[in-house]
Amino acid sequence: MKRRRVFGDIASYVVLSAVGISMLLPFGWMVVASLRDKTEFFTQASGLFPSGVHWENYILAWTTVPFGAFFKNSVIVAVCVTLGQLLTSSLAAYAFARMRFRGREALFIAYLSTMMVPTQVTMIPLFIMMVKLKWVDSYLALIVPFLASAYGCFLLRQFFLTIPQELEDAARIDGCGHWSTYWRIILPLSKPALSAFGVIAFLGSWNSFIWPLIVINRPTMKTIPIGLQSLQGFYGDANWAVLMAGAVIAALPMLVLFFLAQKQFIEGITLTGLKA
Amino acid sequence: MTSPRKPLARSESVAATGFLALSFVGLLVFAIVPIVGALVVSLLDWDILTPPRFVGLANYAEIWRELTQGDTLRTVLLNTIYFTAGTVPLAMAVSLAIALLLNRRLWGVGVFRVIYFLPTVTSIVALSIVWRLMYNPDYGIINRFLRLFTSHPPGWLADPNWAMPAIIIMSVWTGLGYNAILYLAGLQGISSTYYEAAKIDGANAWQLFRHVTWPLLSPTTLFIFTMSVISGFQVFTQIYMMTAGKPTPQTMVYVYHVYSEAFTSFRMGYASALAFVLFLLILTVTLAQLSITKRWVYYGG
Repeated sequence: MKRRRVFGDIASYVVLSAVGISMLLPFGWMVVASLRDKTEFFTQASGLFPSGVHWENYILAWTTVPFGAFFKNSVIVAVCVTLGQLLTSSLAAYAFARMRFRGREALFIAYLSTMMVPTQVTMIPLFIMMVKLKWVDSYLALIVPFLASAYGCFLLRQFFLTIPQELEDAARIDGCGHWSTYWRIILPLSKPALSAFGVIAFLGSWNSFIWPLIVINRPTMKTIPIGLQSLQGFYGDANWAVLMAGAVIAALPMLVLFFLAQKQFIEGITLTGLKA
Repeated sequence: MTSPRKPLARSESVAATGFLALSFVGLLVFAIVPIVGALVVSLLDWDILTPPRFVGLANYAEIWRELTQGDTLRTVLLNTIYFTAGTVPLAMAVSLAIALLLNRRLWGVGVFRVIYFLPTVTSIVALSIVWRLMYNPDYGIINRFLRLFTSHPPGWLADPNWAMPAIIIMSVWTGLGYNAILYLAGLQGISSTYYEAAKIDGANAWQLFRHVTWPLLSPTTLFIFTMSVISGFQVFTQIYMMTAGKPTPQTMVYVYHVYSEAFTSFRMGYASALAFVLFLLILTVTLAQLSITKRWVYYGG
C-alpha cells in the first residue's frame, strides 16, 4: 500500500512537471527569441540559444511604438474601471442585500439579464454612441461604458448576504444609518470579496482587446494589448526579435503583479469563477 | 404595527435610490440602451457615414439565406462549432486530470499552480505572437522539433487542414490553468467523509473517482462546460492576432466575421443582426445544456 502511494506521488510529479514545462516553454521561448539577432530566425542552422544578447531589440520595440504611452493609458484605464466598478457595484449590492424597497427582485433580475447578452451585441451601438459623443480616441470611451458591472453587483450581493444581520442591528441601535453601515460595517467585512472582484475587474480591463481596437486609432491613446497588436502590424514576419521583445514588455507588468499577489489572483479568480 | 412600518419602507426606498443610482444609470445607458439600439440597427442598412435606410428584416433574411444555401456564413458557423467542439472537451479533460493530481496535496504543489496560471494573467495578444512564431512552418520551434522525426511536419497556421487545430491547441494551453484551478476548488469542496466511507466499502481508485468524485464534481463540470462553450462561440483575439481568418476561410470564426462586417465593411445593420443571431445561438445552446445536464448534476442534500 505504502509503496503504491510513493509510486503514485512520483508519477504525479512527472506528469505535473511535464505539463509545467509545456506551460513555461512559450514564455521561455519568448525571452530567448527577444534576445536574438533578427537574421537568426530565418536560418535552420541557428542554435536553440541566441548567438549573442541583443538588448537593442527592446530599445527598437520601445521606440517603434510608444510603449510608455501604452503603459500610462493601460494603468489609467484599468485603475479607473476597477475603482468605478467596485464603488458602483458595492453600493448597488448593499441595496439589493440589505434594503427593502418596491420592485427589488424585478430590478435585480433586470441587472442579471444584462449579463446574458454577449458584448458583441452591444459593441456596435456603443461604437456609434462613442462616435456621436465624439469620445473616439479618448479615455472616456475606454472607461465610462465600464463603470457599472452587473456581475459585480451580483457577486458582492451574494457576499453581503452572508454577513450576519446582527452586526448591523447593533450598529443601527448605535445610530448608524444605511450609509455608515455600508461604509463602516459592510465594506470592511467584505475585503476578501472586494479584492477578488477587484482582481478580475482589473485583469479584464487590462487585457481587454476588441473594444480598444474599435474605439482607439491614435497611437498615443492605445492600451498595451492593441499597442502590441500595432507592433505586429508594423513588422509582420520581418523582425521577430522586436516582436518578441514587445511581447515581453507587454506581458511583464501583469506577470510581476501576479507574482507579488499570487494568492489574491488565484483566490479571486476561483471565487468569482465558481460563484458566477 | 402597520403605521410605523410604512414611513420606514418609504425612507428605505429613497435611500435605496441613492445606493442604486450610479450602477442603474451606468447599466441603463451602456447596457440596456445598446441592446435596444442593436435591435434597431439590425433593421437598418447603415454605414454610419450616410443616413440609415430602414430595411425591415432584410438583414435577418440574408443571414437565413446564407445559412441555408451554404454561403460564407455557414462555413463561419461550422468553423466556430469546430473550434468549440475541439477546444472544450480537450481542455476539460486535461484540466480535470491536472486538478486531480494537484489535489493529492503533494509537497511543492503550489509552484505548479502558479506556473499553470501564467497564461491566464498574460494578454492573449502577447501569447498569440509567441505561438505564431512557434508555429512558423519553416523556422518555428515546433517544426524544428518535429523534423527530428519526420521530414514533412504540418504547415500549422499556413495549412488549411492544420490552422484550426493549431488555434485549438494554443487555446487549450491558454485556458488550462484557469479550468484546472476551478476544478481544484470543486475537488477541495468535496468532504473527505465520502472517500472514507467508500474506502471502508473497499472501493478502488477508479471506483472512488467514478462514484464519488465525478458525481460530486458535477456542478463544477457543468459550470466549466457552460462557460467554455459560451466563450468558445465568442473566440476572437487569437484568431485576429494569429491568422486573421486565413487560410480563408478555415479559421474564419463568428465574432471575427461580425467584427469585419461592422468595422471593415461598415455594414452596421447586417453585423448587428449577426450579433443578435449569435446571442440567440448561445442562449439556445446554454439552455439546452442546462436542461440536458440538470438530470445528472448532483447538488448534494
